[in-house]
Amino acid sequence: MLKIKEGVKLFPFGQSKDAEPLTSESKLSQSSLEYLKVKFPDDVEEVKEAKQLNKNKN
Amino acid sequence: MAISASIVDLRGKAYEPVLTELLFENNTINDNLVSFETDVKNESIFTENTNTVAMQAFASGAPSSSGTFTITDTAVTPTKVMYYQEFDPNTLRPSRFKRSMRPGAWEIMSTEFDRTVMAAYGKEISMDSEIKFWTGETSATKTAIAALTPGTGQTSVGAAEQTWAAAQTAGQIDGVIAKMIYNNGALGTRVKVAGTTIDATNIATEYGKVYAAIPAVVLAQVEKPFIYAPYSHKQFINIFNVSATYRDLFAVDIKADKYFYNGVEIKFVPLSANVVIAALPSNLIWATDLLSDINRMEINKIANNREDMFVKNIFTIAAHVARQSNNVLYIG
Repeated sequence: MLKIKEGVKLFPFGQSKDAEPLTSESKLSQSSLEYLKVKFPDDVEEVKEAKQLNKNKN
Repeated sequence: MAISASIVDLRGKAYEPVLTELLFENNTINDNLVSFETDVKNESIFTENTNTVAMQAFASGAPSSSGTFTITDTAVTPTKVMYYQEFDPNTLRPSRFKRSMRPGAWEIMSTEFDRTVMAAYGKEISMDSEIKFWTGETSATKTAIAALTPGTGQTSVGAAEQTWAAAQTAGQIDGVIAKMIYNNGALGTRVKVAGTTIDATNIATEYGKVYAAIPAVVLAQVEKPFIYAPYSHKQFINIFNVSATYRDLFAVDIKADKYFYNGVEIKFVPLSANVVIAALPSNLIWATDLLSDINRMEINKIANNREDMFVKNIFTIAAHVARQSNNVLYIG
């Protein structure tokens, strides 16, 4: 699962008055995040799903 | 009050011109880059017609009917919008603008302020309306596009298209891009091209993808299509041409400010970065009541017993994209 790193603001279509920054709070599909990962490889990270994390805890 | 004044009390001299912000002209209106449907008070109906015919064997007896006439009406209702600001001209009394105020304590209107600041404010409104015509997106459309299931085929929303929709601040109207992605409550039937980040090195390759995607029938029309591109592409094309051995892909007449890709004229408009549209100008429609409303501002006192003032601009606007399947939308 991909997500935008905390604190990062992405403007994939340029910074303008009407552009809204994409952040870790933006509701984006995984396809959108994969698209952003190609454009901004350092700003989009892979995170393990909650289920996987719980399993690791146990 | 809306005058955010970092003024210096005028004691000596003031440099003559007021250095107003540099803004793009509204080329969409000034150069008729799209079609305009004016005199739309409330609603205008756009009708699209497609027919099918079927050749059949001759029969001396009763023939059987074959083929279809399809007529599709779309009602377009421009949205009424306004710009409104209040200001207190008294703020300007110690400033350079006092030079153009008439004598008398009642007189606080500066002709220089009108000529420079207000004129630039009007220009800003015109430019903002043009930006909204191309890239506007309402909250409802933003939510609807986010709810679509993305995929690579023509009948799915592209990942780039969905990301574009998420990256716009929700506003009052749906512009051309939003209408191409989502139209009449469903995915638009635009010709989708998945792109990439465009720069001076890959611009010819990426425009090649746009050109190849233009339906051949569109290029064969008497009316010629335009490639609508963001302003930054003009620089990319010029830089690309400097290092190109043969400058036949992008034909440029810098003096006349004319740009072509493979014979298709490129028009620079305020599109988002990495977004390119190819369409017949008659397919992109700016619907409004009166086009010159954009340039009409009312400036007056807020009330008769007050000295502070307002500036107000009202107009209606809608973007309509006709013959959707003939228009190319490249997002990268």
